Amino acid sequence: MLEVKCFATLQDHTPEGGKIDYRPGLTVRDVLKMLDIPEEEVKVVFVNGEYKDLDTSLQDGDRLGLFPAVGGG
Amino acid sequence: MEVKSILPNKSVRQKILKELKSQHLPNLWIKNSQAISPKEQACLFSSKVLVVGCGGLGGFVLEMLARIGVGTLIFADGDRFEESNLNRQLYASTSNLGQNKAKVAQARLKQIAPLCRGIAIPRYLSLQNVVRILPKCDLVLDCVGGIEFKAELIHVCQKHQQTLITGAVAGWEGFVSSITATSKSPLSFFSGVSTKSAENTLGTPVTSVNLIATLQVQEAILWLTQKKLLCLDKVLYVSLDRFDFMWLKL
Repeated sequence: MLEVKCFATLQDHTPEGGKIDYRPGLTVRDVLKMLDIPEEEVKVVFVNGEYKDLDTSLQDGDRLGLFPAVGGG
Repeated sequence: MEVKSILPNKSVRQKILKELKSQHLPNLWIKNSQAISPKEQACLFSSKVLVVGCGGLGGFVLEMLARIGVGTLIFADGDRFEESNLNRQLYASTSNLGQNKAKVAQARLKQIAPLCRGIAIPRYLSLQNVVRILPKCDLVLDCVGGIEFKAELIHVCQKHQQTLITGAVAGWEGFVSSITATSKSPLSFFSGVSTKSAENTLGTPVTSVNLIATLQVQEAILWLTQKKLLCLDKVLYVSLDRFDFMWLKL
């Protein structure tokens, strides 16, 4: 399983229970497709609390955080 | 560029520094005692901080930096208060709608922090202006609303080796991060088209704005009292609706 949290304007894309099934070779980009999130809306990706890009391969049990641009002051 | 400054004069400032050096805290800082030593209070009083933006984050940041005892605050904003600012901006009130935010902030600082030298710049800072001011400052606090200028401000501060503490808010979420000349920066959060940034959809409620401003100021206190920055190469991301505080490594 992968734990997925979508933040700010992406929150509605969070999967049910905050989890999705893992399969070998899955990348962050694949997860965006599975969750129907347009790539251009995701500006920041963290995997297990570390900054990563869309091509990062995921491992079973990874925690994924997806963020849009945030700049209110 | 119009610049107006408040008190105090040089001899008052020297007298205060002398008192602090002899381990004596002036009465107006007595309740900082133990949390802040006289030596640290002297560091704060000798510091010059540039605050870019005097609206949501900027209002709270200025209030706290002045009350904690920062000696010189330079702050800029070309915007004027309007009704939609009343939900979150500390210095917005029904009696000052239409007035320049930096000028209102300056009047407020004069009332609450008589030892603070407040220098108001009632204009939007251009990058050229920022470059001119940077050598006069020990630290920059990014309280700008809008991703485009935030990214430019980070670039210019890194290029001129100036430490900057950035903060940003969207809805019940927000983050703080510190950036030095050689550190990583959260620039990706400020990428894309300004109108698509999350705060345009989710708004900027007062609790998120206040909390992120508080975290920025606490980080500033660490830097100005010569301690290690906690948000360097990291983002502290907060989801207030879940009481979730997350450290993210850049």
